[in-house]
Amino acid sequence: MNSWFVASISPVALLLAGLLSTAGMVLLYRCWRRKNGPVWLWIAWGIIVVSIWPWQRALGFDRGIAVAPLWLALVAFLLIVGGANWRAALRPVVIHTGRARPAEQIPWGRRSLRWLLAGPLCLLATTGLVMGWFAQSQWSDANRLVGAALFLVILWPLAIVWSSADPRLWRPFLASVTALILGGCALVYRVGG
Amino acid sequence: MARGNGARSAFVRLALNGHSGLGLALSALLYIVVFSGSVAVFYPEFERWEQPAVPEFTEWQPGAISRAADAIMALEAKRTDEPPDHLFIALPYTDMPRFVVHAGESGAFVDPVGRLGAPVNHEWTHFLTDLHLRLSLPSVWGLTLVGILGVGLVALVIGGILAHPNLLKDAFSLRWSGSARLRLADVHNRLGVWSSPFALALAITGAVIGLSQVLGFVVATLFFEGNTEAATESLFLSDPKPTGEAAPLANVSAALETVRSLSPEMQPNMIIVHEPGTTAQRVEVGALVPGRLVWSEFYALDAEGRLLESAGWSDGEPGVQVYASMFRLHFGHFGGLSVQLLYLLLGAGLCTCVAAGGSIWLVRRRQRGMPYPRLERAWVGIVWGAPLVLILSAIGWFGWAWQPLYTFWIGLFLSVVIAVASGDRVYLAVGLKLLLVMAILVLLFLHVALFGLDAVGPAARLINGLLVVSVLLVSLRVWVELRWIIRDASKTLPLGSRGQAADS
Repeated sequence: MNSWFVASISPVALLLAGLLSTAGMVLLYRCWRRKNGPVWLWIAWGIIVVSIWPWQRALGFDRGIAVAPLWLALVAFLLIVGGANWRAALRPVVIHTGRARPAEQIPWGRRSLRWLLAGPLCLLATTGLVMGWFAQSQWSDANRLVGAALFLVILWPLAIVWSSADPRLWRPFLASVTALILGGCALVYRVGG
Repeated sequence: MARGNGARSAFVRLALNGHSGLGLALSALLYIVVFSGSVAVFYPEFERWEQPAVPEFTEWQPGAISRAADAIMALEAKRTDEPPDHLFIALPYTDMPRFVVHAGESGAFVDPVGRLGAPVNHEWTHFLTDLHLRLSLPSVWGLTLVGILGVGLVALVIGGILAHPNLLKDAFSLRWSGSARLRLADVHNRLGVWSSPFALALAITGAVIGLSQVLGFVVATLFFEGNTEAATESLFLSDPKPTGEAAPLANVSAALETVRSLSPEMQPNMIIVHEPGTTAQRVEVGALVPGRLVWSEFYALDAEGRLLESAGWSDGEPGVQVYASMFRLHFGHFGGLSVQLLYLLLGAGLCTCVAAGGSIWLVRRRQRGMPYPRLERAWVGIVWGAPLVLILSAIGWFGWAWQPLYTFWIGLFLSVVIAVASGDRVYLAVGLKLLLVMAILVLLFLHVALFGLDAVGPAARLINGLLVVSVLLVSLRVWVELRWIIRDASKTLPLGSRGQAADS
């Protein structure tokens, strides 16, 4: 299978990258199995980090960074699968229905409020904050446009994680309102001014 | 210290609750998007597989491009008096060795001389990519919904890592001998942790691609007086304003030669003529950039083939380059077949992770004495029904020209209804997998019957090979589960009432 995308790849660097990444992951696996000390663990992580360089030499700066974690994930899965007890895996498992226990009931109102907060309110707050940043940023249009998109798709999930986990809803609510006010002020100052 | 541990475990419990709640809310749609995305990694190969008899080549005769452009414009002029907005020419190269021209509604393959051949007809592949990009919904709504699902996936990955206190301690654990929940949790966690960089990259790029239209609209409203084109013109080459005055068609061959002489290391693979055959016409040539993630570099040229400007996707501002790199990173089209296969494998892992996540929640409910048997069966209906109806949609399209959109969504609805109405989840899961194996075999036979030797030719052998591999893998799974059922039946284990065998 010929591909134009692999024509520019350096085979020596690719081999080195594959070997280094695999060695780092195998060492990590051995540390995990034998409960080796932190020194070996740090060496394993060090090799993995260093292996990004030959990936970049082989494939290019950005393609190298993109491929390295894919390869590491593949090696990790192979090690996990190789170390698993497949005889046990072929045995069926029966899930018994437990005895009914009284569980903590979360009122529907509170549940809905949480999802309203995590969804629309957090979206509004993070969009407000991002637009406030967009308004104040001195970057070029292209940079702040792409920056705004990236900030939004990272800040909103973080806000969702917080809102969906915090038992005290008022905290993420307060943070969202603050973010919205801050973003709104920055926006008004720029657009209105 | 004890207080510290208590606070930590309370934090983990809360993070886990948030992760489960969010996962449950998104699971079905997220599964369909992730599953269709894993398959759609091969969309160029599916296009070739749908029409395997089309001639493939990478070299063409001089003048072939101009001849093909004139021919398709003439064909479109016969169809309608309205001049087309764009003329699109896809040039053949190693990864897509097909020469295609489009103008308005007319599209055809081209031979190396420049003569028009069979019309382009990739209906099923378009359905597949549409399913992944928009969940088959109208453009902006669908893109936005899938973008929101991408945001949800980012939140799930972050929340999942926060809810995992023993990330390194359990880094390689896969305890098959444990309870059903432990098995499922280990599968979910190992897949989730090691593929988290992949999942994050896909989710972030997917969210940006999905939400870009809405974000562009917001930015345009706030800062560019509602002009979306002005808001995004720093990222794209601008379209010329139509004049409606007729002119000879732009010299596309000259434009291509200009780009080739400018950047000999790049691989030009597409030519777009905006407002073709008018005085406003402008040529845009897209060229693949070696060793980079960026989709292409785009050059704007006038009707005589003189360079006007470049989009700067490969050497422009950082924001432009980051944006231009998102598409290849998301689609997995930057390292040939090996990277596509890695994307397929890790995508399948992500599907398993989502499926196992839903199953963990259901098993936990059952073990706490609060089972949802209908929901358990509905989940099986979605997890195994989605691949089944996707294959059925291809069979329906090849066999009877049924619209894949309707076959898929009506099929999935029926799969869930039948699953809910069925008596036993274990038999249901095995039954769906058996049907899947049979459906793939029918699709393979149908493909061979329709296309003969072309079904094993270079255009179709990869997809048909992958279908054979999936038949083997699912058959192996069915064989293992049938052994469980036969053994259980011999012990008269009441599967449906007292307990259920794990099937994820």
